[in-house]
Amino acid sequence: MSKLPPELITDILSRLPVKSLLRFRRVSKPWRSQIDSPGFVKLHLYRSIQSGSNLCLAVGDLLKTGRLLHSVSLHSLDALHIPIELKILNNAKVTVLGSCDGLCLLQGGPNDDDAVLFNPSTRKYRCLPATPIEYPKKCANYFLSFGFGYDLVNDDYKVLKTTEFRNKRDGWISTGAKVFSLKSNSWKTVQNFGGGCHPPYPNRQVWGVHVKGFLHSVMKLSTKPHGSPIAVLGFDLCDEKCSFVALPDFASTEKNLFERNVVEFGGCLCVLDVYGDFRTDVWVMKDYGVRESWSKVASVAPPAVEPYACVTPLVYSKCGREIMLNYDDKKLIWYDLERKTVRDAPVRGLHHLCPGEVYVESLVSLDGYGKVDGVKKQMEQDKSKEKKSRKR
Amino acid sequence: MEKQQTPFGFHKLIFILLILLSVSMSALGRDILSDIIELKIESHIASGGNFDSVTVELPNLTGKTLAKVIEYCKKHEESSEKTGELSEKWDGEFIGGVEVGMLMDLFLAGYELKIKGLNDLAASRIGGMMLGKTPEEIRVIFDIKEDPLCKKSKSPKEGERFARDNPWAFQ
Repeated sequence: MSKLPPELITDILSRLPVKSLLRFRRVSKPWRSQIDSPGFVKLHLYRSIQSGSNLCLAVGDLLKTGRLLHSVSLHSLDALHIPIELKILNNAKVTVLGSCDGLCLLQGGPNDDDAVLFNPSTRKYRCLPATPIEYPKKCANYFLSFGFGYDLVNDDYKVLKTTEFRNKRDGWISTGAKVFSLKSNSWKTVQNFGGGCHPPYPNRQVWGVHVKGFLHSVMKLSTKPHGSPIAVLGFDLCDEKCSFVALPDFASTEKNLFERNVVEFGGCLCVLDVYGDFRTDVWVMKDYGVRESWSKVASVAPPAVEPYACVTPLVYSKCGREIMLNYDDKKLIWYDLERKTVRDAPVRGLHHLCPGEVYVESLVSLDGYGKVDGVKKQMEQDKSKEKKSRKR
Repeated sequence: MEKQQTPFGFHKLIFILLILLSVSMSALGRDILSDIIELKIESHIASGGNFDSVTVELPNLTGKTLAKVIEYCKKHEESSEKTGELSEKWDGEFIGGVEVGMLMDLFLAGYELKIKGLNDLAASRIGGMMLGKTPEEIRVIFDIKEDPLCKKSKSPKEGERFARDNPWAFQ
């Protein structure tokens, strides 16, 4: 049998799931350093995203008190999965706030207002440092929201933490925002965040929708209850500024619009419009930032789903004829795009489904970004190089 | 001019075979094979050689592997002419029916001859075979003899540390 050259070994390894790769680090030293190299981590991630493989659904556990995170492979829902126990969290409830490149942002840590970055595939985590909340005058209560994404320009992962301040009558006062950079390992306040836009629905997790270096949220321009249409705002993780996302010409009148939400679906920004007749229109922007690329993927309506049911698209099926929907945070269903029919997609060992977050399994490390571990590793590598050169 | 040390008999035979095939064979196969041959001849001429003594150095493949590669190319050309889509079932049976050594050779051939379909097919088959295997079994498949992590490392602690890493991945 012919021995394979290293580039072909890399080719094969880049197609494997993370769990296998972690095991194969013990095959030999060359394999280990190959799998650990940042270049390979990026290649593996790119391959997984391109081929749509290694997709998982991270579901927190709201019922039990075991600090469990369920990670279900979307390619084999019936396979047995072992929930991951998160001892780092002080609260029993595990909430997934967002994800990017295989890293998940979880609420909790030393305090409930804090957040933890966690890679469920490698089980490595990093607690974000605490940051105080600066309350404005007349603030009676506040609501926290997080977003997490990748800043392509600076090759940095960033967390956006917004605080919605409300007065005694539950009226919106202002929104404060801070950005955490993994590289600098510190928080920075964002001035004049959102330019006076305010959330249309109070106390709801927003800013968790990450597409192409932007975090997204639905926003209203004025405080009047029926005044302005609901816009979509994108927060640029690079220059840390908000801008409006160009929306399509929605064919139906917006008067009947009951609710508008944004989600990430198949790597694209997706708008979900819920109408008074219980219909949910799924709009997808194929090329980010190109207004003409918006298209309506589906219009999910009764009798396929019950009235008042909330559906969120998660992934396309392999053949592309069906889409998986999160049905009311209760179960997963497959929706046939042509026939407009649904069928259940049961998940083994999971009887409930709180908001789940789709993520791609990756080897992306939380070390090496402004932390000592990265420096240490580099020093180790340098040392071993020295040893080798001495031997020669 | 540097003369290439290719044994005359077998490779020459294959070369003639390839030319014959490249004329009669489907566009896909012809493209690949004639591309290689043309390229080699061109570079030969460019470097000052003449047609009388053209020797084409073929990728390091056995006749058996080459036959398989040609079988693959032919089938794919036929099916793309007839139905416009490639038969996944045929691919599965084709790649599922070969033993490990041949599989590696086909993977290498797909890479060297730049047949992307074959390269991907063999790579995903090898990947599929590796799922659920232990590091020891992987060493057998890839013919990695020594175990440098345990034997060569001077400190036994290092080996222990590797053993402790990511225990859930071994469940």
